[in-house]
Amino acid sequence: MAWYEEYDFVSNPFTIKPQEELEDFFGQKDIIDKIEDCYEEGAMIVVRGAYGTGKTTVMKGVIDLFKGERKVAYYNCYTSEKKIDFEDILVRGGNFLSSMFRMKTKDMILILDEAHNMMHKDFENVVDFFEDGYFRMVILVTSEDDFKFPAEINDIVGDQVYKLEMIDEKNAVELVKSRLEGVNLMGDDVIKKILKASKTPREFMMRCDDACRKAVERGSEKVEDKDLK
Amino acid sequence: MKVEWYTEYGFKDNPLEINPLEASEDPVGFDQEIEDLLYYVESGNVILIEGPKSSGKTLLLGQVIEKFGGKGRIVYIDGNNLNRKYQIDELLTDAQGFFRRMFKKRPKGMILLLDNSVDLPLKTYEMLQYYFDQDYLHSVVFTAADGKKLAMPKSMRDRIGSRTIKTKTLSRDAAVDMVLDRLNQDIISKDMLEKLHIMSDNDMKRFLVNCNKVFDYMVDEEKDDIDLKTMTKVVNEDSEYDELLKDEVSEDAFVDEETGEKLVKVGEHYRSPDDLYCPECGALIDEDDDECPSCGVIFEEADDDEEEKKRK
Repeated sequence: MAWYEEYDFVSNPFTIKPQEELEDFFGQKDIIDKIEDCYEEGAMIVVRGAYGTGKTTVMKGVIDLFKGERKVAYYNCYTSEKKIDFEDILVRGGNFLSSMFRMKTKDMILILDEAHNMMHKDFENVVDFFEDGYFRMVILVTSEDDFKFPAEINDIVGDQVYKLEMIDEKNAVELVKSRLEGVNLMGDDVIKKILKASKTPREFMMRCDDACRKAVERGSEKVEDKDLK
Repeated sequence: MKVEWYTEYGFKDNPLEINPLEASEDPVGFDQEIEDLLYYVESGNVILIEGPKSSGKTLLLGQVIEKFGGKGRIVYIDGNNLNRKYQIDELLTDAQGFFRRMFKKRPKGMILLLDNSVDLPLKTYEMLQYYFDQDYLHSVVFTAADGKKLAMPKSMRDRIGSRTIKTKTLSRDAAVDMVLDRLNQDIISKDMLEKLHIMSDNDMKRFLVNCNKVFDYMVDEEKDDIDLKTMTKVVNEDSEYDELLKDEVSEDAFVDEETGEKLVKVGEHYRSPDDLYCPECGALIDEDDDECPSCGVIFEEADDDEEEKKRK
């Protein structure tokens, strides 16, 4: 029996998958709010975040936020081997993961994931398409912290650069409490220690899972230092 | 009809079964590994099982199948049987492929076991990641001799995180003891088994194959004992058991599915001679490109323009 089943959870509360029903967004809700705010005016923005900081969660949040009303196209530049065909995205909504929703084409939101893999021609083209008003919003997402976008991109983006960072202690404690739904397995001290040992929110969740599993397996109702390995 | 050697010795199933997925005996010496693996699979993770050849990777997958199988939740794919680069991609991406059918028919929460993971196309990793994040795939398990050698995107590696399970080659003593324990009767001496293990290059799978060959011989020839010379002869003879020792896929197997042409590595990419690619970096290009959209190299206009672009 998995540790969480002993506490009547149906599934792992520390799952690293983006959770629809949980609106905690790995503690990255602020960024989604900001993206929503700048949609009306139209914008090209950059979201930076190392692996495990919640990029997928944020992108899924954006897609969920706009779906049903607006057209969201997702394009992963890592797996694209050719020049990006922006016209094709406008017509069909891009490659594999794209979600298409009915709306005037000109109001489309384009998410370019792993944007550091874009070819130099792609950057020129996306600027043209954006300036011609085909995309209301372009979100360039990258996991490479020090990647420098070309000048023509930076000119448009300006200070609309959002960085996904490690969550702070207060958010971490809240995140754990909300995931554990009142089960008092982890004290604040232990949560803070795990946070300190973790480099990303994803790693933090995995470590919480490991610690709870250890504590419950040795019959304790409280995670202690010795469960942190 | 041929009588199996183990039937002669009173066994119902082969106690020294070579195919790890058909072994009826519980694995030896993997208790913690199995516990961790089963928990990770149950709680939704991407997991890597890493260890040398014949160190029990598939045996561990067998435990996953035993625990979670039977309800149509498990998909097991053996990379060794997919000796063409594109076959697995097709399996996963083709609209008519079983993935699509699977997800139409079945609820979320599948478990995908990719044994002897070969390098998957990036698109396939992207799909796996998507299916995992959306919980169509509850868990994914990769096995590999060296996980670092898999051309896996960093984003997938990060999802694995610390969920890596390492298997080690069984020592000679442990391997011999295991066989003696499973036979549980005086068929062959410990000393001979140790020699057989050495003849098997310390490889567990080969060791099991050779045990089967030797016991086959002893039963066929109605011998109670075997000497070193005869054993060596028996081991070196071909038998149906050797079929089970097929080795891992080599890079040579990367051929174009349609044309059968061998793929060439250009830059980071594997390209077929039929692809139109930049000779410098390997990026795919369009016919009317006069410069590479990736590395910016200018293609020279020439009569044999096409040839130039396709040059290896």
